[in-house]
Amino acid sequence: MKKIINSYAIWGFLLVCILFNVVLILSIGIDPYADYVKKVSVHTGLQLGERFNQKLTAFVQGENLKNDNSEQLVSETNETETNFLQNEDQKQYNQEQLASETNETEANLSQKESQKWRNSEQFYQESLIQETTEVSDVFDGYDTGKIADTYVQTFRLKGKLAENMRNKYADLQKIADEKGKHDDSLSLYFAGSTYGQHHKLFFSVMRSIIIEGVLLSVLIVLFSIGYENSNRIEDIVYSSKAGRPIVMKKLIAVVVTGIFFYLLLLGASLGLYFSVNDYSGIWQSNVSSSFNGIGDIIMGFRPFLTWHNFTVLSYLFATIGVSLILILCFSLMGFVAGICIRNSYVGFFALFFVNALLVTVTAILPPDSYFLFTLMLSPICLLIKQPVWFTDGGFDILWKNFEIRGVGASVVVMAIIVVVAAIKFRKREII
Amino acid sequence: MKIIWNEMKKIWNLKNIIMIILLSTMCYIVFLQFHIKHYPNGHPQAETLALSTMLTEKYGSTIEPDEFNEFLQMREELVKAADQAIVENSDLAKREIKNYAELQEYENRLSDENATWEDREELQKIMNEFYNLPADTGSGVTEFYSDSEKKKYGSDTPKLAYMLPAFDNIVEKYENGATHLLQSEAPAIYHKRWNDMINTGEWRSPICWEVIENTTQYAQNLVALLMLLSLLCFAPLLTSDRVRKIHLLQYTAKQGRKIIGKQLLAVLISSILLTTTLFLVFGGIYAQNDTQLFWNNYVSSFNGMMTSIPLTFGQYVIVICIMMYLMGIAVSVVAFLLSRFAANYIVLLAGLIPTFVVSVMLCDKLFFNPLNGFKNGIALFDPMVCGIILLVVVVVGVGVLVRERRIDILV
Repeated sequence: MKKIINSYAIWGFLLVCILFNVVLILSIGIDPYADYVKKVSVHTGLQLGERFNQKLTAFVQGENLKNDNSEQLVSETNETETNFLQNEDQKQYNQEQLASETNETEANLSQKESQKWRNSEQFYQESLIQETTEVSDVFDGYDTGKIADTYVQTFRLKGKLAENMRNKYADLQKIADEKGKHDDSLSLYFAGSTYGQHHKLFFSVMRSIIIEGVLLSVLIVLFSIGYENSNRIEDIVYSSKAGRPIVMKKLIAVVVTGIFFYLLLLGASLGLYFSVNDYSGIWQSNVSSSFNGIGDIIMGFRPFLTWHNFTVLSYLFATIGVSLILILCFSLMGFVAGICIRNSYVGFFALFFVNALLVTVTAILPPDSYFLFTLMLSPICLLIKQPVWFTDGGFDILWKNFEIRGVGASVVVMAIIVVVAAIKFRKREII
Repeated sequence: MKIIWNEMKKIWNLKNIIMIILLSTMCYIVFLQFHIKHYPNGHPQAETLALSTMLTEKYGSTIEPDEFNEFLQMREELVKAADQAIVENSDLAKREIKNYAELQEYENRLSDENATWEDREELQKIMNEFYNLPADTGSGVTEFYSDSEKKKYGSDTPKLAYMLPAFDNIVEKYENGATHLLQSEAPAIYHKRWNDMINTGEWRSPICWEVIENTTQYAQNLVALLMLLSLLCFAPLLTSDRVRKIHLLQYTAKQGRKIIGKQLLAVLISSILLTTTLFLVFGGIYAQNDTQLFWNNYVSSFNGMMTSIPLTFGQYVIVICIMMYLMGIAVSVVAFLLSRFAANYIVLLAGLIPTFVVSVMLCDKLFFNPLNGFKNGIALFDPMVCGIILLVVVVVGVGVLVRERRIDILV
C-alpha cells in the first residue's frame, strides 16, 4: 500500500480526474429555478397536496409583501388564494388564466425582456404554483403490463423470455400500486427542474466518477502486480520467504487502496457538486416523483419507478454502494489481467479489449437472445446501465434488481477466476 | 533510413496490426455501422433524400428557375397517388375521407386548439393509417426513386405520406430564396456571405442536410477511432526502450541522440499510413451510401447549410479529411512525447487515458458541423484550430528533441 500511495502516477491521475470533474460540474452550471424550489421547500415541505398549496401560497404572499410593487401582486395572489380554495372546475379555470396571463405577459415582451422575465422570481413563483397544482399521481392507474406487452411484441420474445419479461413487470405493478397508495409520486423534488437536476447528478456526474474510479482501481492493481516485473525484481521477491503467495496479500492491499482512492475522488467531486448545487431541504424527496422520469426509444418517457422506496439521499448512497462493489469487480479483473500478462500495458489493453468485446457482442446479438440478457449483468454493461439502476432497467433487462444480481454474480465469478489464476501463477515459470 | 524502417517495424508488428483490425471492427459495429445501415434515419429524412437525389440526377448540381417549375408539376403526380391510396384504403374510406385535400382539411380541423382529447386521438389514428401506407401505393410514385435508392433504404423506404410534406418543405425553402439560412441579428460577416451565396447561385444546389449531417457524424466517430489507435500504437514506442534502459545503449551508438528524431519521423510516417488506411477502408465502406452523387453540389444550399466559404460537397469532404490528418498527426506526436517522459507503463497509461478523453472531446466539437457559418467570427475556424493544435504540438516536439540532445542521459 505504501508503494501505491507513494506513486506520483496514481496521485497525478486522481488529480486529473478531479480536475475533469471540476470542469464538468462548472460547465453543467446552476439552475436558478431549482435553487428557488429548494428555498421554498423549507417552508412548504416536500409532500404535494392541499396543505402544500396553502403553504406555498402563503409563502409567495409573504415574499411579495417584501417587494416594492407588492400591491398588484398581492391582489393577484389573494385572488389566486381565494380561487385555490374553490372547487376543481374553478381551480382549473384559474390555472388556465394564470398560464394565459403568463404567456400573454411574455408574448408582449421583446426577446431580452422575455429572458429577464424568465429569470425573475415572479416567473419562478408562477411556474411553481402552476406545476405543483397541475401535478397528478402518475402511479394512479399506472399499468406496467403495457410496457411488458410492448417489449415482448417489439422484440418478438417467446417462451421463457416473454414469461420472465412479463413477470418482471407484474412484480413492478405491485410496486407501482403501493406507490400509488402512498402518493410517493407527489413529491416536490425540484418540481419542473427535477429531470434536469436528477440527470445532472446521476447521469453525468456520478457516471463520470464511477468510470474514473474503475480506471483508477485498474491502474492501481496493475501498478502493484506489475511492480516486480517492471523493476526486474521478480526472481528476488518470489524466492523470498513470502514467495508467490504475496500476490494474494497484494490483492487485499490493492482493493483497499482502490476503494480509498475512489472515496477520495467521490468526496472531492460530490463535495464540489453539492457546494455549487445546494440540495439541502430536498434530500428527503422521493426519486419516483411525478416530475422525474426515464425514457427509451420504445416506450418513450415514463415514470422513474424504483423497486424500493428511495429518497434522493438513500438513492445516492445506494448508487455509491453498488459502485463500490462494481469497482471491486474491475479490481479483480485487473488482478487477473496483471497476473496472467506480465506487461502492465498489454494487461490494461487486454482488459479494455475484453470489455469492448462484451459491449460489441451485446450490439450484435438479436434482442430475443437469452445470452444477451445474461451479458447485460456483466460489470461493463452494468456500468453503462448505471443511470437506471434500481429501476426496471428497460427492454434489455430480464430480472428485477438487476444491478445487485449483476454485481453479486460478477464478484462470485471473478473470485473463482482470481483463485484459479493465483493457483496457476504459483506454478508458472517466471524466467 | 534503416533506423526509421526498423522503428516502423516495431510499431507495425503483428500484435498491433491484429489489435487495429479488432478494435476497428468493434468500433464499426458499435458506432460507424449506424450511419450506413440507418441512412437516412427516419421520416421525412428518407423522402427528403429521395427528392434531393432525384433532383441531382435529373438537373445536376443546381436547380435553375425553369427546372424548379418543372419540379413543381411533380406535386400533382404525388397528390394523385395520395388520392388513389386513400380511396383504396378502407379505413380511411369509412371516415368518408376521399382524397388528400379532405385529409388535410380533416387534419386542420382536428388539430385546432379547441379540439378535444377524443378528436386528437381520432386524428392520431387516421394519420397513422395514412403514414403506414407503403411507398409504392398508387401509380407514378415509384418513378421518383431510382432503383439504387430503393435498394439502399431498407426499413426506411420512402413513404408516400411523408413525401408530400418533404416536397412542400423543399419548395418552401427554394421559394423563400434560402432566407431561413440567415438570421436578421446575425453579424455582418454572415450577411456578406449570404449575399455572395445568392449572387453566385450556390444556394440553388439540391443537396440536402441529411447528406451533410450523416457524413460529419461518420467522420466524428471515425476520428475518435483514429485517436484511440494512434495513442495505442505509438505510445509504447519509447517507453518500452526506457523500461529496459535500451535508450542508454542507443545514445552511445554512432547515431547518438539523433535517433530520437528518427523515431519521431517513424511515428509521423506511421500516423499518415494509419490515417490513410482508415480512410481507404472506412471511406470505401461509406461509399455504399452513394453520397458521392452529390460530389459537385455546393454544400451551401437552400436545403442544406451555409458554409463560411464556397465549397462543393467533394471539397467539403476533402477539408474534413485534411482535418483528420492534422489531428491524427498531432495526437501521434502527443503520444510520442508521453512515451518519452513515461518511466514505466503505468505512468504512460495515466497520461494516455486523459489524453484520449480530451482529444475525443475536442474532435467531437471540431467535427460537429465543421465550417457551418462563422464560429467565433472566423471563416475556417475548425481547420484552423486543427492546424494550430498541430503547430503547437510540433513546436513542443521539436523543443523536446533539442532538449534531448543536451540533457544528461541519467536524468
